[in-house]
Amino acid sequence: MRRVVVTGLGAISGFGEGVGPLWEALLAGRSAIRAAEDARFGSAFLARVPNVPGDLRGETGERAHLLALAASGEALEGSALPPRTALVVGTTLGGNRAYEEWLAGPREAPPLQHGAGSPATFLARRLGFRGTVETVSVACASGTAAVGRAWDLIATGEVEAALAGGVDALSPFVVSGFGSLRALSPGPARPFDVRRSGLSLGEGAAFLLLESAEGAARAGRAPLAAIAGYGSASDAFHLTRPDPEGGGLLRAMSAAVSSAGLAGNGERDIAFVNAHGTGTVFNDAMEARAFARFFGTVSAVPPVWGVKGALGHTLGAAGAFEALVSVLALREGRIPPTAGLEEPDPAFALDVVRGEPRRTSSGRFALSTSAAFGGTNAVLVVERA
Amino acid sequence: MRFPGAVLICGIGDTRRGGGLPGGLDARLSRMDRFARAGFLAGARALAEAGREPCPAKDPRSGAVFGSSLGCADAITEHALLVAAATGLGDLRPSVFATTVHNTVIAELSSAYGLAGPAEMLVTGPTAGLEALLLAARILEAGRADLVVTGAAEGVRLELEAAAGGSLIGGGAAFVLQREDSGRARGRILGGALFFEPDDGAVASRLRDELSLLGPGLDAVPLAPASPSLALAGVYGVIDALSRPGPSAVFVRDPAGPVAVLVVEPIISG
Repeated sequence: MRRVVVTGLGAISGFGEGVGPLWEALLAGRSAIRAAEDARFGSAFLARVPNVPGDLRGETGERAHLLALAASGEALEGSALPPRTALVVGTTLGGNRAYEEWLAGPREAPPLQHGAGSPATFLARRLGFRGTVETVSVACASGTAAVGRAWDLIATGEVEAALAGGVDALSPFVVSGFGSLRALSPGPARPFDVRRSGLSLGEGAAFLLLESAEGAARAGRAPLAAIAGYGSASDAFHLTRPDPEGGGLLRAMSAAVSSAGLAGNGERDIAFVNAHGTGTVFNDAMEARAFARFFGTVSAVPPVWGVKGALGHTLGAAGAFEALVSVLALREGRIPPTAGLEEPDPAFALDVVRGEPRRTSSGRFALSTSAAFGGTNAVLVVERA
Repeated sequence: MRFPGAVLICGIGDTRRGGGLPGGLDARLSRMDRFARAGFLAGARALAEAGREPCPAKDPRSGAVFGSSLGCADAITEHALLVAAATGLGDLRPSVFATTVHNTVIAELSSAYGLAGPAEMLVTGPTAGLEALLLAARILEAGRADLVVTGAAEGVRLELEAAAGGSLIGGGAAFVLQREDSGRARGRILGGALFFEPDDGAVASRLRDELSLLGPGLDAVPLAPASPSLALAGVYGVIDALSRPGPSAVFVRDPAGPVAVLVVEPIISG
């Protein structure tokens, strides 16, 4: 297996365009989640992208495509890519907004570019990709799975480089859907807090440029970090309820560290866990249980943090955002505080980073975990450059 | 990607053929939308042919990898129509929204059969069925699982079908892939490739180039274009290829640009 390094990052989020504003806001403990102030979204608290660049009436009418284009452009900035570079996109709904609008209209010709795969094919045509172009969709673990798939394609020598990430746009479809499930927090989400009562939705896109270490060295691109492994596993339990024992997430963590060659004592070299941390009662409890089982005891779990109290739950983009910020935290040696967390749930006894940024330990690795509807779990191992 | 070790096709399920379900699964089927039902039926029949029974015990060495072009469009359409007509959240159906994720097929198969290992869902478009087979083969080749149920499923709502002139086809087709030959092997996967080619006129030469990159022997395999039927196309193409002597390179070209090619070879028993 070849070493896979990260050489570019791009993001558009509730904090606006760019990785810089996102990282600065996270370190300051700020949240982009606000009352929606839009009748279509009812009383929901959301993290909406303030300005989506591009012309919605032009080449594409789909908000998700423009979000993906903005983030991928930043990740690729200044990079001349090998001819067979892959593109792997994770999303839950892709171009669904165009489909919703078509359903509500006279329903003439089917809408163009409306499927889940449409952001990837739109980007591939626009940016001139010729290698593998894939869309993965495992609900809220999609962004993590996309980065994991790209890692595998490069590690096995299928391709030299890959742009991988995730995207999803907010719409009445998704906000009312989570509302009907009674899953939305009445205020900004509070991951791992004793008073947590649901999630806040967000939107955006995050992309990582991955390359073989040899290819990056030849091109003179300095690695920001490495992706060292990936694992996925099913709860094999229930369509919407997570396994309360965290069995599926535990298996995905084990598969990921095994693929990174860390199984055994290597877990001690993990500097932090970037958690899925939605702020729902069941998810956070399930994750706490899985972490304690994976590391042996609660006291052995390294610092945990999450970004959904800042960015909202960006669905198919979430795992890509979390991989991206894990790269930055390892690179800078600083873990941002978990926005929204004020009083950690004593039932977990986890060391969740809050209040102020914290220096990372000397550990070389980090885990980024995702747990999705359908009981699909996905985990990435990120490594210092 | 080439698979020098054996990646064996040990069970086939195809909703076009009809057939029953193992006992106790009918109630589970009744809660699914057409997409999930098609994939579950195909997967369950493939697992039955491979000798695998429904089982609540979790097996971390078994996984599920599927592909779809439209995925849960059935549930998406139903929820979107409810949202358009709703005057409040009480008019919506949480059970419908909960199935507006594309991984319902792998979730249902995993929980019924204890498939607690790798779980992946591809929704690129018409190439997604062959992509799923390639990824499942890769997972086996890497030693991350001993058995993977894989294939494609489509559930097509009337709204989309009518707009497409009635040309959309729903259904499911699945395979059980294994490394170990249990005496049930019907064929093997030799290799495959994925690429993006928006120029119609360049597809044939790129297919040849990609097959050449797989190594000696595969570049001369006859090409077998799959008939258009969303992500089912490639999977149906593989089923057809297993009834022909010698290897075939089954390929699907999505007009949007993605191309997938999979080289398979039948194993004739007796």
